[in-house]
Amino acid sequence: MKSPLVKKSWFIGLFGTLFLVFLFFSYAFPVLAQSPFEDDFNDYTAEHYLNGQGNWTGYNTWKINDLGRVYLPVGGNGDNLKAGELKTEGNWRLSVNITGCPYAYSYFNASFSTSSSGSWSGDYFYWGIGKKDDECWLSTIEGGTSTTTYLSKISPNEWHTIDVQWSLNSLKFRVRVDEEDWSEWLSVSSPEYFKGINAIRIKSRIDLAEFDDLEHIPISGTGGYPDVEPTYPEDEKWNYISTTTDISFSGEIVVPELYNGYCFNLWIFLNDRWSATTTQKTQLIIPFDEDFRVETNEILPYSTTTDIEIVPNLMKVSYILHCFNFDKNELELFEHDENATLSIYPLAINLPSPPLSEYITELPEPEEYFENCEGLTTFDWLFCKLKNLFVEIILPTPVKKQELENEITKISTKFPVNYLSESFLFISDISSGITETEPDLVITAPFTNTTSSIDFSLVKLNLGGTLNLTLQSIIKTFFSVLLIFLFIKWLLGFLGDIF
Amino acid sequence: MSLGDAILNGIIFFIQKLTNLLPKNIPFFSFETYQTLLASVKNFSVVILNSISWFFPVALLFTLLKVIIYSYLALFSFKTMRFLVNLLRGAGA
Repeated sequence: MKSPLVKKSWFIGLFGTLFLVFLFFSYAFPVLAQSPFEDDFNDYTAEHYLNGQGNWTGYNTWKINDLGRVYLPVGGNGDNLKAGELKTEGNWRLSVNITGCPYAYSYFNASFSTSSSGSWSGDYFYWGIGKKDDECWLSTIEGGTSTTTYLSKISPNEWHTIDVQWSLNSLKFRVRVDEEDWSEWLSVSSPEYFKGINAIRIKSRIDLAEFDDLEHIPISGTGGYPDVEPTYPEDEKWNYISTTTDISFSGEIVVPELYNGYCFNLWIFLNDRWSATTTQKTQLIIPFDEDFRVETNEILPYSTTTDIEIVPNLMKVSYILHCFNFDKNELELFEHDENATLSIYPLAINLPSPPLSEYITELPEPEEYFENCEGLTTFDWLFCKLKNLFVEIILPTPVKKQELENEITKISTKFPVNYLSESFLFISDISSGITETEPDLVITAPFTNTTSSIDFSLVKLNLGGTLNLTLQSIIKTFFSVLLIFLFIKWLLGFLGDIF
Repeated sequence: MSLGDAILNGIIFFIQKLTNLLPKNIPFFSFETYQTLLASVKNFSVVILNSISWFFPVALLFTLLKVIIYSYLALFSFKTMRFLVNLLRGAGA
């Protein structure tokens, strides 16, 4: 029998949990998820500092007035920021009223960046108001430059709306005043680290400005965001991934020209797109489930994920495909990179090549080797059909030819075939090992960053002196004639054996 | 099955039987030993032949040797086939 106490504690636990969940969703969740870019300041306590209200942080400078607007008291020097949920694009508006422009450049400005626990990452973009030719101007500075761009005139003692539109995808922003024409799209600062905006910081160097109503507004008819424009010369030949969204990524490789290859893994390299040199950030090795044969121009899809922390927001993807070559008696490792550069590395241990048949997983279908006669005109169709008939009756199918090749490969490892082929190789090896004592000339010339040798051995130079070379020529010619004479003698005997 | 397939089937059958029958190595003289021996001979020969190549046409000698070896191989293959055909038709070896 259960105790009533147990039931009571069970209900207390249940309702306690529900209460905590309610608290989280009603208070903590909205605070965590809120955007920093929507604030009307109407519910804030008048004549109190902005700092500490509605998630605003910073110095005790900006204050709230009776009308629910933010102002700087006389002698103030304001600097407050508000952080919230990270956004990857936005159209944000701030209402501003300035009563004067005593300083050039921007004495009052709004900066946009990322912030964690009140620390500021540096402005990715900003707009400011300052004096130029005794008038107030809205201005900004394009990322990567130090020149102030003046955008529009601002009339003092009037409320203006200033919009800024931006996107991570384009890495650009633009500004306008009172819904007039937008500025040009301008680059953000430090684009390599730009992964979004979650904070705004409003500053003023003197008490001549107030602001109100920070809003996120849908702006129609903007023409959308621009695409990333290639900046570096080699941009177009790379595939890119965005590390802010694509930590799992995939792509396709068009297999370059191969010969008799079985591939076993693929190396994916992520390179810093923003670095002028190809700085490699990470290398992912993707083993294939089983070795498989690839065909030239075949499209090889890949997909992978990485949990490695990557700082730049855009990475170039490059690859190297590793395969084995069976064309010789020994295994060779070769690799292809995305520039279709082929590198071959004989293995350190000279393993005998395993029979090719061990790696064949599927044989071609015979149907693939007949010509398709559909759509041909009368005579061509007839000729095509006759050709297929001939192929079907007379010619061996590719499957059978492959089987024969497999059997030949198997018998090539058995006595006496292996001994004989080794003997032939022995003779070829000796032949290739002999260097005739013709005068050789090897020139070593320095090239860019490296030193290469060019063998000019085919160029015959009379370096040995006339007498010496003539004597050599006479002796060599004598032996050549002797050898040819002996060969003809043997040939006559051999032909006599046959017939 | 095409005619070519039937012929290849016969050849494949013959090779398969031969493959099963043939050893990989000769007793007391393994393939690895043979390879090692050839490598030693090759290294020695290359040194000797290089030294005489000043007055002797070594390249020509090897070209002619290859022709002789291939000719004997072709002759041996022909005689083997003739031997097998004679066996099949019952004329004796």
